[in-house]
Amino acid sequence: MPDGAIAIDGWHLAASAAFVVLAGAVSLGLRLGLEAKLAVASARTVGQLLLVGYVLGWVFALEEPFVVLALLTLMIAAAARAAVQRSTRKVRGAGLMAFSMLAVTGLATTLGTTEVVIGVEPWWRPQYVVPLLGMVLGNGLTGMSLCLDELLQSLDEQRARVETELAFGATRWEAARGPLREAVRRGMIPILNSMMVVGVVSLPGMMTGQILEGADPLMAVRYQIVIMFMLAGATSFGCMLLGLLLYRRLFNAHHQLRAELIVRG
Amino acid sequence: MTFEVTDLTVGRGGEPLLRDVSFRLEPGARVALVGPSGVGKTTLLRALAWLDDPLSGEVRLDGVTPASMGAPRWRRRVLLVAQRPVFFGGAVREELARPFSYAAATGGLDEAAARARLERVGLGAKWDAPCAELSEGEAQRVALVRALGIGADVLLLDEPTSALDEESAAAAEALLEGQTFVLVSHQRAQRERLGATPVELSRDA
Repeated sequence: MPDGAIAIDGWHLAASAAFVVLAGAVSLGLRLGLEAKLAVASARTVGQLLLVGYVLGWVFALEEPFVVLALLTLMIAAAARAAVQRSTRKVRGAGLMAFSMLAVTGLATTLGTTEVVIGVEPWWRPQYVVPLLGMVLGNGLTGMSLCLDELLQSLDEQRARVETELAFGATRWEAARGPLREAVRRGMIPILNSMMVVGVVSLPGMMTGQILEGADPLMAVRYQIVIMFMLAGATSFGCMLLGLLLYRRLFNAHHQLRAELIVRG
Repeated sequence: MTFEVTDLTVGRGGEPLLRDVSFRLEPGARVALVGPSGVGKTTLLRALAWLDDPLSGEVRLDGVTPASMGAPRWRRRVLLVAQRPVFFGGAVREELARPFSYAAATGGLDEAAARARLERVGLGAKWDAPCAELSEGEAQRVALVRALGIGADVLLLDEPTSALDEESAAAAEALLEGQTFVLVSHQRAQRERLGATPVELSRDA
């Protein structure tokens, strides 16, 4: 076994920044006007990642389950907020729905994986739980925001179509299932696409990391398969459950579409 | 069949638009909702079809409220025909059969009767035509034929012939013979031709 990844010091970081500086110079030369954005984005990358590094180091060292749980809750809340904010239309309560669905699917798959599949002891060991939940949330929030956006858009724009079906005596489920199906499908496209090309076009970040660390590629692959199944399961269930919650919110028991609840933002 | 509207108040977002509307329809009777633009005629029709809840008052069909009948059954008997018809991407014959694809439907489309109605409004040749290729006036007539195929007790007609010339409108009106309906139409002549009793609506009513 090799001795793990080569340590990176400040000079290595500075050297890698040279590429970004070069890109900024090209932007200036061609008057693309991107250099300011590039500078801000680079600064944020450094700042955010350093902050996360310190927080993770602190949490790992504390070995306190409540601190881990608090961090997980914070991560879920941030993901839920991002999922709702990406949508161009809003509906009240969507943030809470996204939060609860991300919490349920995220924690169930993460803890299911660490407990049942990998067998981590103790169950809250942050070195496993935090990065795994982060991956589930990242994929889940992409899927959920697409699902939310699609459903709100189609019910808003195709209100006349949905209400024509209701007027013909369709139940709310009969009238909603077309838009719902499309929304769940759209939410799942990114994860399905990445499952189709994983290993062929790109090596996933975690697997790359393990290989750089010197792990046996076949072991890294096994981890990655577990991760992909976990992500696919969590994203699918998240989208379906969010779709159902939105359906319950936007169609009442009188089989009426409450399109007035959808606000264009 | 008796259709009774009693002290119905309708509005949007909790704000009343029309207050205490009452009328009663026996089989074959028809009323026309009359009032200035924006008074809430379409809002009233939507409440009668129970697509929106009224703010107060009630509607009954043969003494039964929509809540106890259930929305799907109610709407097949008290059928809203919107001013702008919506089709679902199929040919005319498929659109006519569409209302029979829901759980609340009993039986299927009477094709012979539907073809005969299309003939009467001059669209006999359009049976297999895609709805996307219909003109606005043709679409309105197809939508009317589609609604009549359901066999509702009461039709709620929102400007059903607004895109039709006089001749086509007359053919469409002829289809409504014997049908009980609530009509919204800006044309006084049409209301009179159809023998619809006016129900005057105003903001203060």
